[in-house]
Formats: sequence, C-alpha cells, structure tokens
Amino acid sequence: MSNLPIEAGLILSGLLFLTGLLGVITRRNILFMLMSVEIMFNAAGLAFVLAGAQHGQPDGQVMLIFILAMAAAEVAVGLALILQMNRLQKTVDTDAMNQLRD
Amino acid sequence: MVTVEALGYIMPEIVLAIGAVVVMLMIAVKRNAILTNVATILTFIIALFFLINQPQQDVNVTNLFFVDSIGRFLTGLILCSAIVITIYSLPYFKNQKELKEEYYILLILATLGSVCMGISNHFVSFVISLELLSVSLFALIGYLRHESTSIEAALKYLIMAAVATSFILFGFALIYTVTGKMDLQGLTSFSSGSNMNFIMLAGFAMTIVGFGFKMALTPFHLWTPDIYSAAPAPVAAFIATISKGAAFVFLLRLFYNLGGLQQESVWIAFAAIATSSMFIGNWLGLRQENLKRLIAYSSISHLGYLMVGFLAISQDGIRSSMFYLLAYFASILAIFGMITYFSGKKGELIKIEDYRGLFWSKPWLAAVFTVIMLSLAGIPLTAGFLGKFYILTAGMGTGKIFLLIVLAVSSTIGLFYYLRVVAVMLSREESSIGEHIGSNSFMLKLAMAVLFVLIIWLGVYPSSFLQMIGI
Repeated sequence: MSNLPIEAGLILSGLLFLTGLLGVITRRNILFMLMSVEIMFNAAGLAFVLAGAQHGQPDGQVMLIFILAMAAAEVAVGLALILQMNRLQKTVDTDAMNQLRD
Repeated sequence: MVTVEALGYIMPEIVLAIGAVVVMLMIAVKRNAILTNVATILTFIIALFFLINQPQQDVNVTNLFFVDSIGRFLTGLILCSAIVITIYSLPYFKNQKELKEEYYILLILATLGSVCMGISNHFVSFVISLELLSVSLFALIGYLRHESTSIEAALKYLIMAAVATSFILFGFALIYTVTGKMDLQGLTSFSSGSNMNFIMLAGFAMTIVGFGFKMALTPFHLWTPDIYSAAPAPVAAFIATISKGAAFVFLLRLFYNLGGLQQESVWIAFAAIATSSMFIGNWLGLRQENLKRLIAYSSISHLGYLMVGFLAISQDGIRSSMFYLLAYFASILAIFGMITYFSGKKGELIKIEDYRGLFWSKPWLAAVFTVIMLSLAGIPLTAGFLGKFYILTAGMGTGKIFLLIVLAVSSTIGLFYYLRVVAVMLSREESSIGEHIGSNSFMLKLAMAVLFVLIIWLGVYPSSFLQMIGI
C-alpha cells in the first residue's frame, strides 16, 4: 500500500465529478450528456472505493458494483429514449428540445 | 440474518415485487387493459392488507430496512395513492393509441421503489430503491412515445435525475469517508458534533443538492413545470406525490440520524432553500396560464412548507410534516384527477381558460374543483389549512419565527393564483368543455368523491388521522 493521503484520492474523484458536471452543462449533444453523467457516477464510485479501502471494509466496493449496475440500467432506458427522439425529430441535439416552455 | 418473522415486516414490498412479475406474465398470456388494471389494483390492496396486519413494532429487517411507524404510515399513504393513480390510468389511457398494459408493470415497480425508499435504512438500499423509482419514471413520462413533447420531457427528466443521483452518491461517498458507516443507525452513533470537518460538510452539501433536485426545491426546481406539463396526468400525479414524499421521508431519516441539522451552516442552507421555494413557487405561479404548470409551481411551494416542518427538528415537526404530506397527497391527487376527468378526444385540458364558465354547466364538478383549489391554497375547513396550521404550530414550538413569517406571507401571494382559477370557472360564459372521459367512468367518479370527502374530513375532523400517524 502506498502512503498517499485519502485527500489525494478524493481530489481526483472530485475533479472527475466536476469534469462530468461541466460536460453535462456545456455539451449540446444528448449522447455526450449521457456520457458525462456516466463519468459523474464513476467518480462517486471511485470515492466509495477509496473510502472503503481507508476503513478496511468491503462496503465501498459493493457500492461500486451497485453503481455500475444502475448506471447501465439508466443508460439502457436513456438510449431507448434518444433513439425515439432521433426517430421523431431527426436530431439528438438538445437545442431541438424546446417545445416545452411557458 | 433474515428470519421468517422479519420477512413479515416487508411483506408489502414482497407482494409488490411478485405483483409486478404476475402482471407481466398475465400480459404475456393475454392482453387486456381492464384485466391488467384490476390485477394492479389487487396487488396494491393485498400489499395494503399485509401492511395493516403488521404488529406495531419498530423492527430492523436485516441491515438494509427499518420498519417503524413513519415508514408504515408512508407505505400506507403511497399504496393508497397508487391505487388512486391506477384508477385514473384506465380511462386516461383508454383513448390513447399506445399499448396500455406495460404501463401497469412500470407503475407497480415505481411504487415498489418509493415504498422501499420510505423504509430504507442504509445507503445501498436507498440507492437501489431510488433507481427503481427513477428508471421506471423515465419510461412512464415518455410513455406516449409518439409525441415528441413526451420524449423531450422524459429525456430532460433523465438527465436531471441522473445528475441528482450522482450528486447524492458523491455526497454519500464523502459522508462514508468520514464516518465509515453506511447504515443510518451506525451514523447516529457517530458523534457529528466534534468531527464535523470540511469533507463531511461537502458531503452534506452535495446530498442536499441531490435531494433538492429530487424534491424540486428551488433553486433546483427548473425541470418541474416542463415534466408536469408533458407527462400524462396520472404519471404527473405520481411524480408530484409519491416520488417526492418518499424522498422527503428518507431525507428526514438521514438528517435526523446524522444530526446534521444541529450544524448552523446546514440548517441555514435548508432554511434558505425552504424560503426561496416558498417565495419563488408562489411567485412564478402568478403568471401561469397553464394549469399543469401552475400545479408544478404550487407543488414547489408546498414542498417548501413541508421543509418548515422538517426544520423544526422536533417530534412535533415530524408529526406535522407527515400530516402535511397526507393533506398534500390528497389535494394534488384530486387536482390531477380533475385534469384526467376533463381530458377528452383532443387530450388534456391544460389551459386555465379551458375551464371558463365551468360552474354554470357542471356546478357539482366545479364545486369539487373549487374545494381542491381552496385546499391547495390553505383555506380553513380544508385539508390544506390544517396541514399548514400544524406546521405553524410545530415551528412555533421550536421558535423558528422567521420561517413562519415567510410561510404566512408567501401563502398569501399564492392565494391569488388559486383564486384566479376559481374566478375563471365562475365567470358567466358559455363553457367550451365538450365530451370528456370522466362522464362514463364510474371508478374515476368514485375516486374523486373519496378524495373530496377526505379533503373536507381532514380539514374538519383530523384527530382520527393524527392517531393513524401515531408518532
């Protein structure tokens, strides 16, 4: 085991999380937004694994597996919806999502 | 270890899980919308039966679930609301071109997710139930898949909910880093006062952001009006009541166990969110022409009121917020029931103007509509008033005067737009409402009547319901 402090790992996962968040905010293509959300999930998973390792418990890794599974479920439904959007509107750009407003 | 005895306490959840499978198999054998609907209602009723026959004890079912009186109350509330929503769904989807049967599987699964969330006692069980709820909701919102607005709403909700979930997950990870515990009872034993460091506070902040999204509190409310206006009315009712109620109860458990509210900064953050929800919800509702959007803003402000009960940090606060949830569920279900009732061949009547002159053509329905609006506004003799009254009492008991003033002032602002709807209905003009699905659905009429009686009953004689909450 290395002697890296836990903070180093947390900063890394925090940066990953911010990368994902920035992607969700700035991207206009909904596929990229979905990918960015995926990065955010995995950042949280990384933080869980780190914390589990620090406390010497397996719980963190268990949580990671759950996170991976639910991210997959979410993406499955998300891709189906994107497919349907592409069929109806011939685009996957979020600028086309402007029919709902006041 | 799981014992047979302990399993008895999660029988309602087991019944729902089995019910989803049974309904799925039924659809595989024979497609029949009415049969599926009845099977769904039966599933909920059987679950409710097991719930009522449980011994009134606080029990840990493994590490993951903790069944107590709040959990039982919420489970009952969710199951009853789910029955009402199922009743709405049958006439609503009758005049849609979609396949109608799969809807009910998703509805049962979403209900299962929210029921599990209400009794979960561990981060893992919470995350699983949250996903069960949200993934079903994505599909439910986009159920009318040939309409591009519906797909747009589903995608918006998907991205928002996924971001919110990842915020909650990261917050949990940070809390876990500091405490080394994931179950709520373990977190209670962790003395938060002395070890409150930066990582813990960051964890709290991210959890609050995530829950803010889930419960549509300002400034995380932006998705609400879009989703409400595009989702089918029964599904919108589901999002407005069940999913928010379940998230609220877990938030209550989490922060009461963690003791985070004793931290000045956390309390102030929550108070700011509650204050802005109350004001902004009521303010933005003022200029709405769209009834479903108006309800969305109304629900934002109602969740703000609910947070006042949460912030009272007392047993009274919990009791009053549970009562408020009951009143809120009844009113919101009733108003979405009205929208379902009046939807016809051309779809839902979502403009307020569509209801012009309703009072002179259908006086009874208009009277029920008016009572629902008054209940949402919180006028005496309706459920909404007593809900607010108990919240005010709880806040007064612990001296949260500032929040109480905000509550009173903002609900006065809100009164305008609720009364505007009533005024439109009362105006002496020819009603343009044509054929609607409610007129030939007995069950829908019955559900509306029950909700109407409940709203009045809660407002006049609440003590039997307070006993039911029993905290």
